[in-house]
Amino acid sequence: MSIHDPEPVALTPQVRLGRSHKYSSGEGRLSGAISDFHEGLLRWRAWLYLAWMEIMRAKRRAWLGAVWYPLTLGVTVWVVGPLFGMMRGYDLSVYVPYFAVGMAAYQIATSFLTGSGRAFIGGADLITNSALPYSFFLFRFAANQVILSLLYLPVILTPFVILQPDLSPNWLGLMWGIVCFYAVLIALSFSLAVFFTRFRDVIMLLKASTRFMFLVTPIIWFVDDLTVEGGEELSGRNLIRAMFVDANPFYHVIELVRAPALGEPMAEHTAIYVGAMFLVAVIGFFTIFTLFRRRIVYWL
Amino acid sequence: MVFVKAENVSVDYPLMGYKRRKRLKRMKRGLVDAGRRSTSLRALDGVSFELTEGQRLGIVGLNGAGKTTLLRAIAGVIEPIEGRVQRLGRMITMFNIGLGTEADASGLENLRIYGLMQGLTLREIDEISEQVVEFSELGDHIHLPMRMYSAGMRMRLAIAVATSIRPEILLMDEWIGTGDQRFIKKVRKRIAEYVADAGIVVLASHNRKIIRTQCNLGLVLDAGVPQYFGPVDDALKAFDAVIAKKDAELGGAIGADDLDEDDSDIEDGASDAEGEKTHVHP
Repeated sequence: MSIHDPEPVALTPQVRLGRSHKYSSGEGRLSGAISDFHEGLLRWRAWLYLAWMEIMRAKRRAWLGAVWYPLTLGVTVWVVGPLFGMMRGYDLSVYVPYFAVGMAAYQIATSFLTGSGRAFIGGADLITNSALPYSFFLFRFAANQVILSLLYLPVILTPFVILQPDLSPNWLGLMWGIVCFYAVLIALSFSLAVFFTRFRDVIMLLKASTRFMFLVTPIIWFVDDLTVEGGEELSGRNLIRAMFVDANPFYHVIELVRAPALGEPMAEHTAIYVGAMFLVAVIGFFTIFTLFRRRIVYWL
Repeated sequence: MVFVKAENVSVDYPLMGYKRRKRLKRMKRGLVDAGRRSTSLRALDGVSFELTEGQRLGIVGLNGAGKTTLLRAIAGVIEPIEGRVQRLGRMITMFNIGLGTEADASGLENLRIYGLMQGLTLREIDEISEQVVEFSELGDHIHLPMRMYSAGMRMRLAIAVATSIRPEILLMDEWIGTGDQRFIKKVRKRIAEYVADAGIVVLASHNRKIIRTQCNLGLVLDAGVPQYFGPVDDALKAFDAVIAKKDAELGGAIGADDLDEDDSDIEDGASDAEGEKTHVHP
């Protein structure tokens, strides 16, 4: 058999690839990063589908698969919530919704951050063997996380439906809060994804610290527990409050969705804090992505 | 105007976490470049060529010569540390069969994954899927999870999908693999047709017959250094010289003559029986 085979082969003319892409390895780092991002976005169908497949993968050989995540959250909310609420003498119709939203937001946030290490490492085979852009793997990761986080929604709603708390959510604020919540988490996890691929220890450190952060962040307790006693503001605790509340990034990220969901005013610093965090994350991401994108393949 | 151009391409692989300086000193000089800040292994050293429409390049070399590295550099997976790769044209890479497949997803879903990753739309994938299933001869197996497929079945599906999309630039890394005799014949024909139809082909292979018949140009690599670039027959002769040199170095075990064309019809691992279940642990 040769290419000069006289026997005419019935050609099966099939789909031709749509776009002709000019590639030049010498192109500048910045333009390379931008075209990588652009190429990645163009393949939205693929990363969306793969993200969905990843969720289905957990489901296929299991009974419930990814549904276990919200289910365990639901159990936590409905077991730990009332228990802890009663112990502290909170009004359950206030506390359980507060706890549910805070806990879900915290789990989603840590899942984004600790999961980001998998974005490239999990795609190592594809990265080393195909010409897919790097951003493709970031988008796949983000899509996967967003879909996963949506599974929590029914659980978050249960206390609102069952306990019928006397509160009026700020719907517009909630919409904006959710958008900002995802935006800041995606920006942070993108930069961490590059960073974690190179420095594998840091991801361990982050994973180990999530339990600690959970306890020191106002999720199972109210900020007022720290600063108010017997109806009076304790001025001596300003420093402690500053440490665990005002300077705590998790607090502000959670507040983005928790405050409007409960119809409470957002802490005054939250918008500034989160805005600054987003900006730093975006600039940080584009800087390290531009500078180190080409090294990622060697780090895998 | 489709082209692939490599200008003086050199690739270094950094040795991550390799800090044993003493051991490095004992190594043959020149194998690794132990700089102050990082240690690296030179995988390609100054490779240049230019390909235009209708040119099919076969890369030959012993294990570790840099064949795969060169393909990866052309694909843009790795950026050369020196020199430049340029190309224009719709490209498909076939480095690893069954890449990116979901073992627990059905064959049909995997077909979709593959097509999407190559940048097709779902509608385009629907257009090819019927023909792909037919060529792969998987029949109703296409609805079963890939996990249940034998190695031969997986290959049949992968080849059927891959060859249903026609690129202008095709990069292949030794992938004509397993299958039963009958299917191998069918695949040969399909691949020949596919290769002939692609504008530019770069194929790395240990199979001299495939290189000789499928390519019109040859590039010989030895430890990352290009030895010859030109007509394929001359390239294979140059490769013989490389083998002879290696033999002389290592005390001459295998003569070059024995290697030539003895890989008659079916290469590596064709004995894999079809239908035999191979379990993959992803």
